[in-house]
Amino acid sequence: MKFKPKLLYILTTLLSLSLASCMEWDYGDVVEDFNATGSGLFITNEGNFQYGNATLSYYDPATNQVQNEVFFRANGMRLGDVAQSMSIYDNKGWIVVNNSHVIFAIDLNTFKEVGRIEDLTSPRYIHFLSDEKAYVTQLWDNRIFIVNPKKYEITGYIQVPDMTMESGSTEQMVQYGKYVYCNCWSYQNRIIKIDTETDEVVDQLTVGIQPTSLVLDKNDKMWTITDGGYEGSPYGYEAPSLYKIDAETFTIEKQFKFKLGDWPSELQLNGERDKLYWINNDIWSMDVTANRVPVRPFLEYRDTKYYGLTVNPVNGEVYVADAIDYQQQGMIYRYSPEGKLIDEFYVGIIPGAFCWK
Amino acid sequence: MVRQLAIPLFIILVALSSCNKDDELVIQGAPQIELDSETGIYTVKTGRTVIVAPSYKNMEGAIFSWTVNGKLYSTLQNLEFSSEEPGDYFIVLRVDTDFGSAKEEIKIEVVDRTPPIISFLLPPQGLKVKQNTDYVLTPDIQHSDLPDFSIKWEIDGKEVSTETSYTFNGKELGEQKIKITASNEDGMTSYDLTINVIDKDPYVVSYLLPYYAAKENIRYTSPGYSVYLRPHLEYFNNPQFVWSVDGNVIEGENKQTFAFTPTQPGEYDVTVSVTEGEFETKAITRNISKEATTVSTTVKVICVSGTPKEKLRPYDSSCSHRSNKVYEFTPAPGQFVNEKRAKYSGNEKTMDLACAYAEGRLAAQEYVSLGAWGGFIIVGFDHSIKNQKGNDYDFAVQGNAFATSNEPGIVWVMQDTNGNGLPDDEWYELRGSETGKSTTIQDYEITYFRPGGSYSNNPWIDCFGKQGIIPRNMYHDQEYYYPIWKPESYTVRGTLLPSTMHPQGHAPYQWGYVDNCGEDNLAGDSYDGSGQMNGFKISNAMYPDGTPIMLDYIDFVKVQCAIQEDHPSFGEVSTEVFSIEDRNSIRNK
Repeated sequence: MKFKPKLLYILTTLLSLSLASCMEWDYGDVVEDFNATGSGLFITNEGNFQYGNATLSYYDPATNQVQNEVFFRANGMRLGDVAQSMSIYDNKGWIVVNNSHVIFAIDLNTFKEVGRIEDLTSPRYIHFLSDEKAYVTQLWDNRIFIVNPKKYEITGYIQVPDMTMESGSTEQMVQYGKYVYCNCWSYQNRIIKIDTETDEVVDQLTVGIQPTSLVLDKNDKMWTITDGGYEGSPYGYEAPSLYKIDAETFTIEKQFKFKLGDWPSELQLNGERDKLYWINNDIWSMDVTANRVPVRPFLEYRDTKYYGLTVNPVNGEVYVADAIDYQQQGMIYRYSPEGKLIDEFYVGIIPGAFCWK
Repeated sequence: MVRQLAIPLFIILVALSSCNKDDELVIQGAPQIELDSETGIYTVKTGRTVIVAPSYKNMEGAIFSWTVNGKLYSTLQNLEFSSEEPGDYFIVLRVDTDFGSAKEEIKIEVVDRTPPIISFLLPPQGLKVKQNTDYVLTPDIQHSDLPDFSIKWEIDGKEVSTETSYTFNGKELGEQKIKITASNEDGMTSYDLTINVIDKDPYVVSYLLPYYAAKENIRYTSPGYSVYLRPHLEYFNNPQFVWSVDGNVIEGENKQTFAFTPTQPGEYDVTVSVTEGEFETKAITRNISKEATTVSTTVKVICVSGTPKEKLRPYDSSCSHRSNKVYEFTPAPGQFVNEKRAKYSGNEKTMDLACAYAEGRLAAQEYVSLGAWGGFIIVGFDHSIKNQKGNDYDFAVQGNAFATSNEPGIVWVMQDTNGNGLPDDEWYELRGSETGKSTTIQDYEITYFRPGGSYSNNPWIDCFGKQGIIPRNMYHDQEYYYPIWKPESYTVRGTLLPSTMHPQGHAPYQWGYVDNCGEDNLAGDSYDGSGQMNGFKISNAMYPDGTPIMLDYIDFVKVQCAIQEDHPSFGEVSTEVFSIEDRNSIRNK
């Protein structure tokens, strides 16, 4: 078999560390001049693990035009191995390339590289605190890296307590006041609370096995969704859950249980931050004030592999990434807020994350 | 505006006054529904009734409506629902009063009833037992955990046991029919088991076929080329072998494998007599003794006339570089077998249809997954692939290995010795870096059994009596991992290599295997995950004892998964084949 769920990265990261020294950037000769003004949607395509075939796509919802491999075409070099996530700050796009141990900063209109932060362990997400400070979470590391985005430098670490390098995992971050919260996913079961003034973990909250994602709604409630592990996992296997957590008191307000064997992921919010979306075979949606998960999905499973999800913050349109068979080019489906298919287009291999410009 | 509001306000006041009880004004709000299920999901079995009984507030004068797919189903306060058809039923409850309305959508999952399912893994030749011997029969029974479970064993209509296991001891020779009946609250199932009671152990001495449609007990060779005969045995504890050719015992040949090398064309009857060696001859009377059981099987070896070279089918410009036909596709059970994502139609119920599937996949250079250990594919070409006997590779097999993901498959080659265009001749394994190592097990055999029920793990037993399963995993949810075109059980033989699993993945072997980033990995673009390719030389062909065999050309190639290993998250290790191509014809074009 050659199926590559995200969990494989855990198994293989150690080896990749040793391979890191062999990694070279593949510079091409011809570069293109893009000028993508206006709003748009970036799609990071993970590519196959250790193939170095991650790519970046850019979609203009106004014209329904997609441009693939824009990073390579604009810069004449490959993006690297496993593009994990992308964020926008200071008019720059920050692309976290997990197994190339790098974060590229690009110009949002020309897609040209303007800087890079190198020598990260296994970066997953970046969260900006100021022009000169951001946090970078890691897989297989018990530290969150502190970086200076202006200087593209690593400036320090936050040591996460009770976490070994082997079982280390810090993932998505949300900010409430001076605190940043972060879910610890792989072989973990908690949300940690970081004081951004002292750069220390000051509190933590235990949830179910492997919380995959974290968002903060308009009522200052955090939501996380666990995947419950998998059958035979040494870390355990249980029915996954969706949790509603009050950011002020850092306590669980409500737990919505799924069935054993479900594998929910990719929790997202709409622009108003009053409606949740996630993948659990089907695509699901729920008001943040709801008392139970609707019995009917927002979009039904299409006998394929839904892998990424986002909602247009402006108009509530839903975009679903389909990894198909993890080998061929993935597909993005664009739906109206009511769930009607508006557009579909091919992107790169294993589209996993989105970023709205 | 103020004047227009006055009338509705008056009506509301009148309406409110109707709630005036005991001189106390009660203002009724809009109705509220609180379901008696935290999730709003109710589960019921077919034909049974589920009652949905929500709690309501502000329900005076309420009108209830329960609609299923837009059709009104009930107007009662509580819903009583049943259906004979399994499936998900989405039902909207609406409550209307003069003061507003409330709505909830619920789901009722109607699932099939689950009476017990009884399954037995039977030996491929049926259940044969020895007379006057105890055999403990313990079927697998699903849904025995439901209430009111019971089981009954009957022989000839007479109840013999009510336990989940039964000890059978056949006194009479011949067939006996056992009926097992199990029931639970959902229903009753029965299973008829036929046992053949025989007077000796049901020993089996047979030959596995080189390909599924080959004629039984006929082997082909050319003068001077050996046929390695190795019978498949069942039930023997300590087999002793005697080999004979045309009735003449070959002195000194007493192993399970016999290399027979005819020097002249003709037909030869080669017989193996296998005797259970642990048996001691026992006197019954002075004149009568009981002897050990011997089972004999004869195979006809046909030594064809003419040299192999005369049968070479040369390459010409109309030929295809790639294999053009799949003769047999027998994967072991695996997570990609029967799966729609691997583009199975789900209708591959015959070997012909399975071969057509694999042929289509290879033609499109899409992966054919061989499943767990022993799974194989046999392909042929529209010409013979020549042995260049040089440094270049004669043919290549495309897989999808990369640095930490190697799923080695062993390559076998065959010459069309009898010239009938079918792979019913002799297979020769190609030497690889693991050949001859103590960790490599030749002539390993596994028998896979069709699982007793759908969505079940896949049992196997190997030639050493070790049992195991090819488990299902969460990523592949097709009904069966067991190839649906295979019979209730099937045995595969080949070479077993140890797993190369380490915490970071699967390491490659040095050389000689498909789907393996070894030294023989040909340069190619691996970026799309399907460009990896290993080169092979025909001069690495060998007899089972490792002796090289010089074949001037080959006509058929078999690739067989060489590893037996499963990981709960990623499934079984399984060789993937994308294409098989003649490198010589590409070079010489």
